[in-house]
Amino acid sequence: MSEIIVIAIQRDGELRSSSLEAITAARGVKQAGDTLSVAIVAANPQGLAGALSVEGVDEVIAVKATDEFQPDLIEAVVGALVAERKPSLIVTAHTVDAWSFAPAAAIKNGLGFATDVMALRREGADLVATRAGYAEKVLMDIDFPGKDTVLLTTRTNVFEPASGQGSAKVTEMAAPAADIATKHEGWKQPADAGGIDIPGSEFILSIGRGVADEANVEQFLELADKVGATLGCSRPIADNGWLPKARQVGQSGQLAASCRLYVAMGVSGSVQHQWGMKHVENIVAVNTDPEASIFSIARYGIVGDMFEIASELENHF
Amino acid sequence: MMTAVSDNRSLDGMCNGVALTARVLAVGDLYAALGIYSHVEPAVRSELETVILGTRRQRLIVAAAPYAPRNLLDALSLGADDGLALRLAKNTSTPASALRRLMAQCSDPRARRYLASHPNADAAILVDLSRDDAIEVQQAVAGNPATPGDVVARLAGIDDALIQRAIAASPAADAATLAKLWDLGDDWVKADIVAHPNCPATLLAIATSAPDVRLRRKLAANPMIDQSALERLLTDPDDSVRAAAVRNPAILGEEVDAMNEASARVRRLVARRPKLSADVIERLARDPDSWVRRWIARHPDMSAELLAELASSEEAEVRRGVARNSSCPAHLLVRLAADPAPWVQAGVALREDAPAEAISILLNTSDRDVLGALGRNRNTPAQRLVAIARHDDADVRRAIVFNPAAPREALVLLAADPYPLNRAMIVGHARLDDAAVADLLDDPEPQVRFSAARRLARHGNQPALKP
Repeated sequence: MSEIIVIAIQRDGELRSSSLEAITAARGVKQAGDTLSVAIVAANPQGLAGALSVEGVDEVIAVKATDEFQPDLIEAVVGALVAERKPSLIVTAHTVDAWSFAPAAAIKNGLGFATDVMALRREGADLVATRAGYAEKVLMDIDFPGKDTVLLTTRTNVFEPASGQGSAKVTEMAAPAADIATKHEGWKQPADAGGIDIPGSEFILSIGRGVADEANVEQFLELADKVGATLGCSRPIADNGWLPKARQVGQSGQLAASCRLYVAMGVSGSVQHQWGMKHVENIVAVNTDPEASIFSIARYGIVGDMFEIASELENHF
Repeated sequence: MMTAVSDNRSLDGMCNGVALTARVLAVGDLYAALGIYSHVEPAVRSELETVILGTRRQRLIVAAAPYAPRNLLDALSLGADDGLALRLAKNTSTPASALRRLMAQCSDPRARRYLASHPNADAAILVDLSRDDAIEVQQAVAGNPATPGDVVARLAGIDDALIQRAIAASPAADAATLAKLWDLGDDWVKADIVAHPNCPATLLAIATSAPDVRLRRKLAANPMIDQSALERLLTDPDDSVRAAAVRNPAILGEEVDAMNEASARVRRLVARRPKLSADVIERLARDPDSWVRRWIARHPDMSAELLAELASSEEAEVRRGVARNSSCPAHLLVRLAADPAPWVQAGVALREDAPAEAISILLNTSDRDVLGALGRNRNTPAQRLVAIARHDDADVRRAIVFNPAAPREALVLLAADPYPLNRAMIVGHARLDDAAVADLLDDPEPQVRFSAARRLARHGNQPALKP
């Protein structure tokens, strides 16, 4: 019997949906007799307790402090929770917040630690986390021998957000003293992507070098519109200025975070491009080169001309 | 050509090409050695081979690398084991001489299938492999565009759907082979046959009135179809057939002009045709379908008046089309440089012919796409290019790589860019001096070291290199 604690994150007093995803991840490894608690640091934590009281959550730990981004404070909260409750597992979403407090909290408290976890399971009583390595080229299973407490950050848009009304009790916890080394200046919104939402799209049709010419790009915008997809592209297309950079999928571009179907047409599948889409469950690749790297990660592959396939696809919509 | 050097201590007195070779040998860097291999004299290559092919792991890496020099791949094929042979057979850079050797020494059907589909496989290799017992090898031979016509004709007699489909699309399939295949193949094979430029006239005639839409659609795409059949297909009840006919380059402009097309899909394709009359262009510029207007906005035969009209369109993508139109007059480019949509501005910023006034307006931007376009534009002031090379977005900075007029300061910044791909790409810039390239021989990224070494070896006149 042990406790699992999720560290929920808010932004300007609004709960981040990735926190509900972290609850799902934690709930998946909860064993009989375990308790699942969710800690939230905010100016009005009680106001967020209802949203966190979802099915499977036994307790919401409300830490009244500030809505500002204060990673040192959250790190201190983690330290206090470890000292007081000795949880077996702490989970938080792999966001900019977690990047700022989780590694330090893991080191200071001697915790087992893994970041950007995509899957979580039990092997007997042992916890096994799966994450990518070597720029997403391999998947690694990580266990934590000899660690009483493990801290994990979970990749966003991989776990379903937890739902279902729960009946968690709400406990107040005093904010621990923290040596605050940062100053919150305010939140800055990312550049406007002109309504293009690659990270939020479930269906992406992506084009690469095979499109050959700027004049040909328009027909794939048209096709994407017709089939209900968001048009994405590989780096050379955005580099040429043929499509906005907001449509570029890859290491220096966008992550196809919510994508369930990715149709790659004329995309060779460079390592940089794969970084942004390799995780998608259903990848369909169309390429004239049967040895293109994209086929090594595709569920379905078509060795053929992207224009011919696009034209045939159009006939079905 | 460089010559060999084995004494690294005497670099100062030697030409710098020799210094590069000596340095690569001394450091033992596989990727730098690969970069210079093709540029040294044969006697030096054997020394480099000790660096490149020293371990089995390295040999496997090189055998699979499409950037590996052909002569090195050829050398690797000598006595290659199954693992090496498979990688060499898959590698699109492996030369025909190596493929012939692999064919003689390799019995693995997987490797033979790759040999049969290899782009460098010559006729002799394909003739031999066409007699292979494995059906997958025969399928690959049938699908190889280099397979000779007599082999294709022979394979057409094999009762295999994949072979038949491959032959129906083979450029070497003649009219007799296609006629024979017509009797054997399924509907998909027949559809490919009527799209084939060598399809016999009798089959084309059958397809013109075929009830199967697939056949008529494929026929409409055949560039060898006669004008009367094409005219008939332009009035086909199915809009996918009419769309295929409009796409056909064999169609004459007047026939398209004469169309009173109800389908927006077909009108969009008409708007993409290179030759259109002024009347048709005007009609399409005012088409109710916004995609038609987007296409026609890019048409090079648009008049200045119509371009001005579309430059005032409410739709940013139509205005972008005007900005990208090669016939767009300068005064419209100036107007579009101040467009409220950054994507339209970026369309102007990409143009080397944009007037100075337009570029000047665009310089105030903070938009990534506009900055990226300005970064590529040789008319962007040098100071601004340096600022772009310092931008916090790696994708914006990379635009400098594509600017032939980028100043040295911007190039050097890119050569020290934190994003490895940017460093790898700047190596190829003609204005990046060799001293800056030489620094990249120590880069942590193999791709960068390979590109730097190759660039220096190609120039053959390197500056002093760090010991």
